[in-house]
Amino acid sequence: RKSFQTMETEEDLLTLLHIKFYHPQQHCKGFYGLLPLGTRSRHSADDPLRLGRDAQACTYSLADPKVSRKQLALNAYRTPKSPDMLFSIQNLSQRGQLSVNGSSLGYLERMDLPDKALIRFLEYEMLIVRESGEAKTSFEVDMEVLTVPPSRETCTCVPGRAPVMDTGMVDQNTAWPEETEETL
Amino acid sequence: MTNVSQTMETEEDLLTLLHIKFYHPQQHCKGFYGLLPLGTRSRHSADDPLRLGRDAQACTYSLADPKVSRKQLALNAYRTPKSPDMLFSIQNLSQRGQLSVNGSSLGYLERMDLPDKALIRFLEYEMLIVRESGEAKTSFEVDMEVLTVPPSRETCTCVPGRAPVMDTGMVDQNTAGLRELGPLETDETLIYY
Repeated sequence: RKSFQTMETEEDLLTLLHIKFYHPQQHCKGFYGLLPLGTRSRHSADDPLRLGRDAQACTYSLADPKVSRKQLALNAYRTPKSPDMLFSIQNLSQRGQLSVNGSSLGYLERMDLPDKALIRFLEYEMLIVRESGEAKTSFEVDMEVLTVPPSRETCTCVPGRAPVMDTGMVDQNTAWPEETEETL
Repeated sequence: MTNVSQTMETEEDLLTLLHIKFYHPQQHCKGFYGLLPLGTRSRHSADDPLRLGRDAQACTYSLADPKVSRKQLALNAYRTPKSPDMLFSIQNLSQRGQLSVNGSSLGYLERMDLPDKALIRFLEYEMLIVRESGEAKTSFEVDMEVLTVPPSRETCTCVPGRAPVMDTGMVDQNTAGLRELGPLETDETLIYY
């Protein structure tokens, strides 16, 4: 009788998804109250990782009535071309588009998740960075909240926003050019 | 503020339908299909993977067979901008063996788009899955039956080495003696011991 070959050992590094959120109203709304921020959680590669308003139906839920019951899913997969555990992302919302590094997905549309992906839905931004591991059947997720929108760093700002000038002025009213040592 | 949500489908919309037909060489003497809703049509949300395996808690459909993996395979609905149809991908969830899809082999966690007519093989099972388009956007249906002959025979994907079946009426296919007799008139009664 053949003994069952385990696919991984206790020491194998797990593939890790770093997920970072931003929402312009996060400072005054408790959207992230149900998320395990700052801790690492482990998931079976067999199960989709779902994000949405419905805590029963989703792995992670956002406490925001505007979010769809099931907003999106991440699914682990492998290809013969790579030893890595990879992910695809699928829009589960019937009410809006999901943007993945600028590409737009409609309801049930999916695409392979790039190793560094800026996901946008409603006013949320999710930066997901995948870090390879060896383990074959599980992966880990950690989550945090960003204080600045990741879109600003990746130069995908909404067009029309003026660049921020280094004037020290809160309201950016910079009509009068001044010498730098003059007290403003 | 109340949003009138736009329903994506009406009651009358036809649902995409997956016809799933099973075959296993020992099905006549084992109750593998005891937990499957054979002969009835069931409805599923396109949001959820449809899983098949031994574990009835973890899977949508389970096979009562200790050799089947707890989670054997999953079917996932998806759409593309190129087509109005609801399509499916199939993924191997078994750590113990390959999944064959129209002859292509998938290892653990590997997946591929499911052709509209697909012969799936794992262990000694054959599953013929035929997709019938519908308009509904958020749900699909599944019906299941058991075949009395392996679908692989009809699709000409038999295991090599099996001799073709001669129309001799002889149960054991031992036709060597027959051939020694030479060609016979069709109305002659064949007596061969």
